[in-house]
Amino acid sequence: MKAKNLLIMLIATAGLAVAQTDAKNKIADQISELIEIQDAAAKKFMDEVRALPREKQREAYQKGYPKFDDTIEALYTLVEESPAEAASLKAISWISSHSQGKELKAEIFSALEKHHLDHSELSEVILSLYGAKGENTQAFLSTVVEKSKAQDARGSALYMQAVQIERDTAKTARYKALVEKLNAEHADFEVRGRKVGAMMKATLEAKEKLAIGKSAPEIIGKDVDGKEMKLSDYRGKIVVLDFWGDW
Amino acid sequence: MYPHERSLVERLKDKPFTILGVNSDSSKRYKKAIEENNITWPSFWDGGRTGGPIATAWAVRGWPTIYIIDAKGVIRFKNTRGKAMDEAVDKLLEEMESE
Repeated sequence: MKAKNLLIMLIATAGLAVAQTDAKNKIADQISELIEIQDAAAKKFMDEVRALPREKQREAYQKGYPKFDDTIEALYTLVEESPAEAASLKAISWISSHSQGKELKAEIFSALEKHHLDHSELSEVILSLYGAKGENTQAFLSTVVEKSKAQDARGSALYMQAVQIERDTAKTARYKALVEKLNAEHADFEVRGRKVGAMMKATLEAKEKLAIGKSAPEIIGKDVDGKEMKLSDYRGKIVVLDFWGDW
Repeated sequence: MYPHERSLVERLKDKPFTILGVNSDSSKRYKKAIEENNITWPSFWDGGRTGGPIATAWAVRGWPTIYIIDAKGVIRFKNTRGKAMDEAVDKLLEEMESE
């Protein structure tokens, strides 16, 4: 090959690489931009609502909370165009945490399984699935637990499987098994700096102590003026123990 | 919540019964709530936050959470509210009277 041809080829290849990097950055930038705009709008709205008197706040939320539908659709389009890009994970997390429990589209789960199953940031997406309890979400979480090579992703998926059924009294046995597994295999797994496996286990044990038919554990505390009070001071009376707050 | 609880306390004022609160408000807000809502029953004050020591020990994750405890200190009902709360308390009172 002549030197001149080689040079042309090199330039062409470099050009292609630059074009690819550009496309990549462009998608990542577009995703970031969409999210930033919407987050800024939500923040502005929240700041305005917080400035209102308390009794007007609820009404303001119901009336004016920024609509996310257009941003969600735009992000879906970008993700569908470039499902393999790492930036897609950020978009998917955002979509999921702004979908109010609505399940992600089925093709998103396929893309995640195909392109990002072993990606460490998959964990972020999984932790955004809190409210979505549909079949596709369940199947996806099982796949991650079984097949992902990313430790944190597996930990998140187990944690999310447990969290989703935590309040379902018909699934107590499965919940217990998930918490056991989480503690056995992911003792160091943390969500926002907290070792959630250990916390869930402690809560489970507390709940067992607090079941109907069990003796109420003693409470030794103080009233708001600092005077000591005990639950057992009321032995001999029927007690409605009411955990309350004026909010 | 408050009006119903007030009427329960009023109706059972001569019976072996009490509402015992565990409050998670700031002390300022708690004092204001007591005054504004005419809350006459006692409450533990749980340190001004939802993750306070009593709520944590009792694994409380949602508010309000209610436990009904009989005169012997046994947990008998959980999260029974409204009319069902009245009925639960009446049932326990009947039990005590028949013993």
